[in-house]
Amino acid sequence: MRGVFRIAFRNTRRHGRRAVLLGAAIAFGVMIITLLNAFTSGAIENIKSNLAYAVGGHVFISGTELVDGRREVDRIGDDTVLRAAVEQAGQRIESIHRRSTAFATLIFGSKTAVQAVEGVNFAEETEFSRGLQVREGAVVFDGNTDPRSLILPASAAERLGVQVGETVLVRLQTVTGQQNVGELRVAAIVEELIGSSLSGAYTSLEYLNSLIGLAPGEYQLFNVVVRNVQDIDAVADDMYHAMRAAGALVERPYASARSEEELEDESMQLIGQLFGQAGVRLVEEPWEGTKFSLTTLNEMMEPVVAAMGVLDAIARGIFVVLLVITAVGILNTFRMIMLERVREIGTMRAFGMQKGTVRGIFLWEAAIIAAAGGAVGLSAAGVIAFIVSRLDFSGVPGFEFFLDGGHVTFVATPGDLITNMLIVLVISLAAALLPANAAARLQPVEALGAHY
Amino acid sequence: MNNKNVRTGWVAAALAAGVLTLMTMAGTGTAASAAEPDIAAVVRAVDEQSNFGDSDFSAVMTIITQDPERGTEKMVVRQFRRDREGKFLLLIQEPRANMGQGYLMDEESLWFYDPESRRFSHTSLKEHFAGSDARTDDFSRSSLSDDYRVTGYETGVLGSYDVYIIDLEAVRDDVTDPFLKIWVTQDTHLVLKMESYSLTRRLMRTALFPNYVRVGDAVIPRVMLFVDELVQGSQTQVTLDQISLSDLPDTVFTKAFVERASR
Repeated sequence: MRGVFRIAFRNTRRHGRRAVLLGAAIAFGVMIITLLNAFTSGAIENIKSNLAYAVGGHVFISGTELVDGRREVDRIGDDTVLRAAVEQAGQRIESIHRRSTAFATLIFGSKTAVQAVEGVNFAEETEFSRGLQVREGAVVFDGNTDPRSLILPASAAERLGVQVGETVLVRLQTVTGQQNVGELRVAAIVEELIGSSLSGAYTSLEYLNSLIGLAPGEYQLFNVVVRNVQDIDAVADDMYHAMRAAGALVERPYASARSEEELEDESMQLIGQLFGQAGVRLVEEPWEGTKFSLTTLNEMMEPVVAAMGVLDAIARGIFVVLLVITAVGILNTFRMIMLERVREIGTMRAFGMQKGTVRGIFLWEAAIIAAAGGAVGLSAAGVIAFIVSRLDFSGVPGFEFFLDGGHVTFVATPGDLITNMLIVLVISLAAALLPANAAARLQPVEALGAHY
Repeated sequence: MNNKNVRTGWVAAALAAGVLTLMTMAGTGTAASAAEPDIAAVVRAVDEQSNFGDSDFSAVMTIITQDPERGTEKMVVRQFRRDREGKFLLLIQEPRANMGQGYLMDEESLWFYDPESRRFSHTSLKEHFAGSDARTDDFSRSSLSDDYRVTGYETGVLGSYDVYIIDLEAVRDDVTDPFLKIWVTQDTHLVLKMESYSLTRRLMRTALFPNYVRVGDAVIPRVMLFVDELVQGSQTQVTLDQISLSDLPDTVFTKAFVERASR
């Protein structure tokens, strides 16, 4: 085996230019597919992280209550069962965020901006402001802070033409669908978290609740932040079972089998609840108390992950096509090599080399070129990823959702790397197999007498 | 004249004055109670005469919206109403970009139809109609007496009309406008002006109804002006034409009709 490898390695070096060209083609394909795979993996991580920050957690529990026996209203009054479930989940949970949300129209003079406004309990969420990039003003919330203070994303501030210290009107609906108007004073203008269309504005939970008709102590969303994102599903499962065991009415809309239309309706409703658009709904089957709905960031991300998976699959398909084209080159190159080395093969066969060994030499040559090309491609991908990840793309509209602080993240998973290298190897070996077999079948006498 | 006679005379005069005063007050009270209007009945009358009872109703609405950012926009909408069943249909005919869009009120559910996606989606009466300052429920039957109670009133003048200025408070927490103030003509019970207030008592919208037309047994505003009191420079004018009380086929208030009409 070692001897065969050494011969193959020496032969590869003998055909330096051809080997380099083939290797370069393979390297290019590997570089592209590696970058694409790493980009999609990194984008998914960033989307998860950005979304978790924007909506305040990894596991989301919303509550609905019945009013007048028919109207469904989004609110959580008694969260005893939720707190008990959190205790059971133990140290895996980092923090809890109680929030309310309203989809409001902010008005400043003749300018308007439709904006999700989230009520945050700043006394509880002491870490909240750390993730904000403040452009103007200050995000300091203590006992003296005016509860009508507003943290506004930059795009909304620009649209309204408002500055720190000025007062905007906020027009919204209560949880029962009545119109209400309040006043908010701009305390700070911050950079968008996840794109202008999804970045929320923030005010105190207390004041927002008073505007949307919630009593003190009530809220709409119970968000759980886990310490390790790998535990999201496990924590959600444990909380779900704990709540069921405590007798609470709780459902997991994504976990149960639903039709596509039902899932789309429920995902729109969940998005509405998270961004304050739920409104009042009539029910046909009434219930007692609060009905909880539990979902996770992973479940919300399923469409995104699926879309990225499609992108990955397309990229891999293009990669395979590229390799097949390269394989044609490998096939022709090795055919030429075989013809050039006919007498050499005949000599080796005359001295007792077996057919399998001859075949093995050719296949090892192909494997060496594939491995070298793959290694160069991976290295090039690494360099490019390093350079690109240092660039700031925060000014690119619509791209913020995929970035981490304005930067692209590349995450190369071992699974992707191994899969790609295997594909390269298999296709290269397959391409070299025909000429390898042809070389192995050469009769020593004929080979020695051949002239090409 | 001796002092005793003078005193007696003064006493008699004082008694007579007192009796006269009492009689006058009683008379005034009686007159006042006779003139005290039944404001709740006035509000009911507003509803009764603006709803179509057993008749169907159709009209073409021209909606001109002035928005400080979007400028002036014109929309033409075909309106169909059947108040006895609580149904209505609004079909947008202009501009071209919105042509075929429809709002169908089917007993309790309000649907919005998008001809591009050919899908119906739930919407709410509380939503602004097609980006204007009018709301979808502005085009449905009047239900002030069901949704509100009178909390006070005064008399006044609006233009050349004697009016009741009535304060209304929503009786349920799902009524869109928590508080209203309406100016109603004393003789004909027509609403000339309506102010909508938020829960925080902030004036949100002023609606003016300067022109009415009698249609069968009903009297409806032919011209409506909605002024957004929160957004400077934003207002919407709605004008009704081609008003008809002809019976409408039942199929008009169905999704199938909306889909056909939008093609």
